[in-house]
Amino acid sequence: MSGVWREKSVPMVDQECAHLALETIGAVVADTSQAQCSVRIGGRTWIMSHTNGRYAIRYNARQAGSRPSWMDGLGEAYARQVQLKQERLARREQLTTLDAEREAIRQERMVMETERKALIETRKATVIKQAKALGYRVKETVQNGEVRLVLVKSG
Amino acid sequence: MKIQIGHTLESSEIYGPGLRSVLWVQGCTLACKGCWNTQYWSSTGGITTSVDEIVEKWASTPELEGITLLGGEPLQQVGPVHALIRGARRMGLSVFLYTGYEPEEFSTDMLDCFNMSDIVVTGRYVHELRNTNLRWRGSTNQIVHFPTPRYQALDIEEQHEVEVHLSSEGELSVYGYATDEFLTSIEVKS
Repeated sequence: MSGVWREKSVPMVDQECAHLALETIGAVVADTSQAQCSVRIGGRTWIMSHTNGRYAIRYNARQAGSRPSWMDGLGEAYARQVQLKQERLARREQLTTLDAEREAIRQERMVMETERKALIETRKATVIKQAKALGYRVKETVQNGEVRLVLVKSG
Repeated sequence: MKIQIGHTLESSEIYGPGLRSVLWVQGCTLACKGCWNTQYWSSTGGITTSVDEIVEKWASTPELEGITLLGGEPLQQVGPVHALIRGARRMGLSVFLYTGYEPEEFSTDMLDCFNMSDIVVTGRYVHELRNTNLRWRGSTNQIVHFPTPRYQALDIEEQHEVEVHLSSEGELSVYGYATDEFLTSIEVKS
């Protein structure tokens, strides 16, 4: 019987939503730039960096008990913030009568969509590159917005 | 009728011929050493759902060639699994069943499930006999059976298979016999 490995949370691509999610779980975000910021939570400071199209906080997974418990709630908090942001944009769009404001909302949505697509392309490229380096043949299918990559290697 | 499910995959290409809907049935007491899917051992994990709901979902996916049931141990929920197999057959879908039991251990109901399936892999996963280059099996003691004529002429070409799913939100899921090296390189495992 074969294995199943699934990521526990949605990757964080939107910086604003990532910061709000961190604040929701009790973190203080500081020293923000596009590439990284510091996150103070649970008496420690962590670095959140933007790599491979997403924001991530690294920890030493090989060290037992090194994954902080607050990380368990971060994915859910992020997903909630994305939903709230979309609702905020929709409300703003309903209320405004200004073309410039409509254009700003459209641009903001476009940035979110571009970030989402960029993450998918980056991750897909990484999988294909690593798979080919390990000698797999790769077949790609897109179905209902989901990418499926079948990797095959002859015995 | 209700069934406890650990995980479902709406469509996959590595768990049998063609495009298949895959169900990991929750709960297994066989506890094979080195099992790949210990998260599906507990009989209380996963979600409870209705057999009818699952079958209806298959009906709304016209490109499916069949369904694959694994786990956990599907035959430890033999009643609902029997109903799922009947539902699939009524729709003309082929059935691929994985079980850790050997045929001589089957109850009458288990034997019914076996006989109604087109492909069945039987036998415990034996870690010492692990071979990830076998198609559809994890260890060399496991046997592929063809209880119906549907795939009897099928030539099983042994190969190592992994399937990666990338959701519309960018989450990765990996299925099959992925190595730690591969999982680490794509950041699914640290």
